[in-house]
Amino acid sequence: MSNKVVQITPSDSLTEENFESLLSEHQAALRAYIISIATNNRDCDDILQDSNIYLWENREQFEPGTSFKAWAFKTAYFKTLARKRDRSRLSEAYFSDEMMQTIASESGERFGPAPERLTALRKCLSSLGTDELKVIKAKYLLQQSLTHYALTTGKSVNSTHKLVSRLRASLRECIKKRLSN
Amino acid sequence: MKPSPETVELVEKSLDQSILPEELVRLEELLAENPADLDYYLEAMQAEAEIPLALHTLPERRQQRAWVWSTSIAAAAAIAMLIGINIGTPSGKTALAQESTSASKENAGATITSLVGVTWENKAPSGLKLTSSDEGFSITSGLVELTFDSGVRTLIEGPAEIAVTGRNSAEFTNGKLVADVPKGAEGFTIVYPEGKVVDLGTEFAININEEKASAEVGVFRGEVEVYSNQSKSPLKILESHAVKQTLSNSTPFASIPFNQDDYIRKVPSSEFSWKLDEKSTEPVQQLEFDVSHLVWKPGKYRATFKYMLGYDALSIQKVTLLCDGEIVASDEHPGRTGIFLRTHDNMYTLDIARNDHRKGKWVLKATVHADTTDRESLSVLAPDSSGIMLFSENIVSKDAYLGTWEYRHDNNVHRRVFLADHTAKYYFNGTPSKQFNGATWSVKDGVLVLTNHVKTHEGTHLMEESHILNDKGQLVIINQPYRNAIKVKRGKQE
Repeated sequence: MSNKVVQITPSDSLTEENFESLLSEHQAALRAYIISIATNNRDCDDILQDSNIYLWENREQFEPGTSFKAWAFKTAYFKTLARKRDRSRLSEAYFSDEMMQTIASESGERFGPAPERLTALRKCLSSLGTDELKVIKAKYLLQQSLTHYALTTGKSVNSTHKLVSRLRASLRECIKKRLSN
Repeated sequence: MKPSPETVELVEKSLDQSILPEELVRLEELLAENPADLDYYLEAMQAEAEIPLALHTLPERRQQRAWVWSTSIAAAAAIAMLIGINIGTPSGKTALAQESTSASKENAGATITSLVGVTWENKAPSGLKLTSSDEGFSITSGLVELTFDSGVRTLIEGPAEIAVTGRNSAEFTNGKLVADVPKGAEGFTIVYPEGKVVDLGTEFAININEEKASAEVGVFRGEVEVYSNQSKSPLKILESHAVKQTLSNSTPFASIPFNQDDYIRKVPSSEFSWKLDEKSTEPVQQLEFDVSHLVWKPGKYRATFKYMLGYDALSIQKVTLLCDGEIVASDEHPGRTGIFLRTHDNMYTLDIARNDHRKGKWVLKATVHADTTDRESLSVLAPDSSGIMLFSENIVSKDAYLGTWEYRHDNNVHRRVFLADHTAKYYFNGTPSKQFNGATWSVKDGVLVLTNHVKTHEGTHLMEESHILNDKGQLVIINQPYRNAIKVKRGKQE
């Protein structure tokens, strides 16, 4: 993902490369926005994909000089709402419409492109022990279930879940410390 | 202010994607009442979103230890999904839009096309496609099938170390490798510490033993040329011949007997056919299966018996797993596989503990007998039953079942569609059928059970069909005598 900051002025026409950079810069924030309003349920990756495809296919509609974040988040909000209202998706958990609006409003203000957070997080991940990094990679990169990971590594399912819980908390603390330093 | 412990617990459940609907209602109440809880929730979700993106761009760490990679080989797909971008239509000018559909010079190399029981020694490859710009990989055990862009198929047996150097070449430092070189790919080259092997067509093996500092090359079919680093002239090795080179002092090649059985030439199948012995006068029979090439590490393995043909069902009493004649694991319970409604408990779990796993001859033995309950008044008296046994290690997640599966039975084309909301659809010869209306599915211990209430003139019956995935990614309906189903690609689905 690119960390390049793209300067867009109203007189610039948005090239594909510029648009791609904008989209890449906003991926982390867009993903955070979606999983916060959709309670991190199993639809989130599909919603992100649907949103990205919509944004790319409609890139001509984006006006340089306006807020890309606002447009992207609004797209994601409606994609999430559509998923929620699709009767065939009732098995996935969603907040009420009111709570979704509240969280969307908070997330919209709070989340945005923050390359320094990813830099801090990379350093925090690099400081994990080998086994700790292994389980984090299995869950987040290979999308293995923790139950499967536990079975294939001979560890207990319960202790694997607790380990991941502990690592999440410690990574959040680590990000905060690095940013405050 | 800190978040409440209840909020922390519910947020964790949300991160694990295991939160129940009533728990979500409670979480919503907590987030609405307490700003500190909402703040905690947002912070947790933000980090959760960022972790995979940060991992994707993490600098490589040296000297990582053994890594178990799921043989579902979802790694490449998982990486593509991380940034949620699946742009297939744009012109291909931008980095995002590029697809490596054709092998340009820069992208030429080899693809990992199969994995059996692999344990990676260091970092697992980040994707399935390997080129000369990628680091090699090492495995401590298992089999990796690497198919080169030239069409050469190699099977590498661990412990082994290899690096792809081009569309028709590799550096091989340690382990056993068998290469099948098709027409047009002659010239396939393996470089090893003290020389290289150039294939002139068609199939050869190389065994590099790092500890003993030796290299052996044998030819199954065709001929190869072997070059020592000390000599410019090659030595030609013909079919069924083998040579050995001692690496430490680079002595000339010495002829040795070629023990072809020492090498695995094809990716072992996890499906074994069985048939009851018609001539047997004993009521109880033993079925035996050599599963040596499927047992590479400790863990939970599963043997599933599926009936396909015959007058009789198969009754199973006990399944045992032996290594070199010694019992390592067993599962004893009555099971049956026959026509539908007569199949139950036909899966047997065999746990190989860490201390019990070793290299050797692994044999699965099943104590069985013919179950003639389904026979009516037939003149055939000899046992008549055949089918397949599936032996596997992996337990797949429910997501692996999602999508459309097509199989043929009785000259008809059948499609089953498993949807994310746990309902299912059924198509008969391309036409939607109401047969699965109201049916639901769930996955437990890696087995998908499709539950359907079927109405007949006798009333409504509960039908449960069980499915597992085999090593080829095919769907096996284990209590119906149907052929395996193949996944239908997106775009060709209903």
